[in-house]
Amino acid sequence: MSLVAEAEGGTSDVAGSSVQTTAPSARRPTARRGPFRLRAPLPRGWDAAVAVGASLAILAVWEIVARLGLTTPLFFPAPSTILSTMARMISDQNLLWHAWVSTLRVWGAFLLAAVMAIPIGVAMSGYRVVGAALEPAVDFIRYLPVPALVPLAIIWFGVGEETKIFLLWLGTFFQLVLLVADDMRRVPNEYFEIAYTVGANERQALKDVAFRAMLPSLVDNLRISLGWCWTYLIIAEIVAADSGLGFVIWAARRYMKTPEVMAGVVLIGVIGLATDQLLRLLHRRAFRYLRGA
Amino acid sequence: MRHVVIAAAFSLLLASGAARAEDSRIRVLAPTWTGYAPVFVAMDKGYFKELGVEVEMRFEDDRSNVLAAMTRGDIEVDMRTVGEHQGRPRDASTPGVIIATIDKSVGGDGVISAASIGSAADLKGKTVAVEPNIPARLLLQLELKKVGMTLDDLKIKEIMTQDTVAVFADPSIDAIGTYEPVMSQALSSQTQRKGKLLISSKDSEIIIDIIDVRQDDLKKNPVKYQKFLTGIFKAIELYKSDPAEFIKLAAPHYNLSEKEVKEIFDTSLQFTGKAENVEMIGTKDKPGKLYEIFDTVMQLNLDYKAADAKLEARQQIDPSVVTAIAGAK
Amino acid sequence: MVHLQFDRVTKRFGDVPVVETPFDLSVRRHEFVVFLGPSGCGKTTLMRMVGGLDAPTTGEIRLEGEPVGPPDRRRGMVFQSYSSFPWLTVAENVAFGMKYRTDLTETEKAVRAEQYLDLVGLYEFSDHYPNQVSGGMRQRIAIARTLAAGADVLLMDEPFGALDALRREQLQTELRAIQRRDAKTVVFVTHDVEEALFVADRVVVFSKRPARIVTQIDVRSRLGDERTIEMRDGDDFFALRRETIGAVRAAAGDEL
Repeated sequence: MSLVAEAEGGTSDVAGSSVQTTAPSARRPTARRGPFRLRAPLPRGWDAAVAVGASLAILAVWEIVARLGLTTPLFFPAPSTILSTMARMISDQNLLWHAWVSTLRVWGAFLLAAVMAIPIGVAMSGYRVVGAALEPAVDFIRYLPVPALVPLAIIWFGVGEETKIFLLWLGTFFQLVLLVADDMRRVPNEYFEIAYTVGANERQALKDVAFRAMLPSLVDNLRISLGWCWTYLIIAEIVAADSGLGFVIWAARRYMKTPEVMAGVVLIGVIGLATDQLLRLLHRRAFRYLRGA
Repeated sequence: MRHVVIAAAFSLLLASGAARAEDSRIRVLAPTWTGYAPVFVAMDKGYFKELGVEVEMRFEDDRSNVLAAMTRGDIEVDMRTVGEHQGRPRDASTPGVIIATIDKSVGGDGVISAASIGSAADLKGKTVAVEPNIPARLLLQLELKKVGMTLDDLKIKEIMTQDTVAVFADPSIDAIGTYEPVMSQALSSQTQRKGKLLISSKDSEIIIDIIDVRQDDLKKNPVKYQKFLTGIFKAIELYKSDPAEFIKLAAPHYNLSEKEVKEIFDTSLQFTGKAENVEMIGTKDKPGKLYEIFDTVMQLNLDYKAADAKLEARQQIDPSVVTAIAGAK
Repeated sequence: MVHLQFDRVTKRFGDVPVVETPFDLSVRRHEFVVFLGPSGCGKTTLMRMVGGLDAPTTGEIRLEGEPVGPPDRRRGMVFQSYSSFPWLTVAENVAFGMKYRTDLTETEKAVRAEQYLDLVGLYEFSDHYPNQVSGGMRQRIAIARTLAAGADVLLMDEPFGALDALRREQLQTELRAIQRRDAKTVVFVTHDVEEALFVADRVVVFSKRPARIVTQIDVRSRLGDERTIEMRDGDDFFALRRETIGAVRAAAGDEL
């Protein structure tokens, strides 16, 4: 009999959400070794090394292609050109200040969207009547092209910060609310029932159990929608523009200054990458319990 | 200082719209075009402050956004070309009346074409890329009219003018209506097209940038706009006497170098100061040259259905502000 | 000494009859009753109605003579999966059973939590998270939580269904011991004949859906109160097992 002895060790178990790993040698379907086995884990530290290495390789190829004159510098400047342009923009054009303004706008709109989407999303899946009432509207608005709504936004909110925040919010909120509703829907019924059978009322079950249960996937979805929020930045910041990365990029585009456009775009990418990594780290820290022994 | 302004804007996000001194403030929206630089220079030089008006100017390329802002009363002034002023959906009741001109395009707008196109007449049946409602479209229409054609005789493709250089690389495009600096960049970079400047605003007078003002505010505070124009004209005087100083102040507002700004000024546009305005706008009894240009452009816009209603120059141009400051020193 | 009474209970979900023939059953105080039947026959629904998680379509379920209402902590539930909260430690999961009790001070709660952790043999795993312990331990967490909540009826829906054979056997023995020690009434749902016979005082055999009682087996009179692992190899157990399987086969009817 090959059953594991009762020393409570660790067999896989459908009850838990953890996927426990057995020794790799026990389930190797092919003789192939190394990192290219399907779903094979990478040795410690390889992840970061491969990520950095591959990124540098892409940059190197790009640089060489540009230096050899295989691309038109007007459309596709070399990474070194973009980098030096960025440095010049930081010293001469207040680029970092523009980045800071954009970051404030994105986070302002994103937090506003989150603060609204979480209770509404929870209510939509918690109470069928709320869901039935709001779902068609949310689904409809979610597909509207934000750029087409800019004049309408101006009529409602003027040409100040409100319109910019509104446009960013518009691109984020309706997506987020459905994700939140899904997160809530995925909370197992058993969790509610456990709470009720130890004497919780609905509010307590929602607060102490359902919210806590959905938190890891909620934080993940917030991270993803923060990324969307950045993609709407250009649309928001070319409206009555005087500041922000969107404005910088658009103004440079007007005068066909590709290195400056690229520098702005790259800076947005860098901010996004850094934010994302930071949030992933926080996620891992905050939800240690998701990992098995 | 700008940090503080932005921070304040955020904190007052919902509580904004507080009443301010309406009789001294002018909020302007204009496209990212260096022709409107005198406003920035007058701000930076403190001309408006000396005169007691408070001016804010921001960029907005999209005309429908500007119309929305003006309808809502969020801005007092818009600057555009005459042709754009007339475009759909403007009718006699739309807010905005022309009080002055600020610059005219002298080579700043035009149509570039492949080597095979000898004149406007050769464009028949050819593919021409042009954004709706830009000056080059009017120039093109005017030239076509001279040879008895209209835009309907061409295959029109709508593009974003910023993309001119990339679009010109496509050999299926025979000509592009565009503006500077991308117009020159397209010609110099896409050498395989052997492109040339087919039509230029240098040869025409119809591309003029005007200053549009909300009628209700003009009626309430006419003196404010006299001060506004005085400040702008003073900046244009500065350009004439000390162009280097003017360019140095203007360049940062557009994220351009001084060299780039100088080149645009030298090759593309001409500011219209007080003397030119007196001549262009005239007086109520003796209308200036702008009225005639207005009518010509109006007809072109109507011909290609870029405008719905025939607008009357006498209703759309208000000479009172220029008249009031014409005599002053 | 009837603790739990089903009185002419029927249940339908929309058009689907789950219990069609009015269902009568009484469970005595401190009795360990097992509902045995094919998967999907409706036995779980009957158990959930005791917990107040579903309501009968007609008829009534009474607990100590009173019709049952919405869930409360007198009736504790242990599910097959999602039986503990992954974000709480083992000790916090057990303490969660008392979170909404106002009759205990914080100190009393702490003492009780330790007591029940000890009872189910989890004391040394107090600070582990459920994902770091075995499936068997997770079910023990749920049992300890239910006991800490002060339930006197334990409602268990295939609680050991996902465990391997050895661990199952051990938990069955422990559960039986706890039930006897703490004098709890248990309604236990399973489709495993051996499990049913090993833990039960009485086994109620259900037909396939719509659920109906096929037969009842008084295990206690045949095997007594004590259950040991050795008994499973005894002749009495085998005989009883054969009888029961016969009844279940008949119940499954033409499905087999």
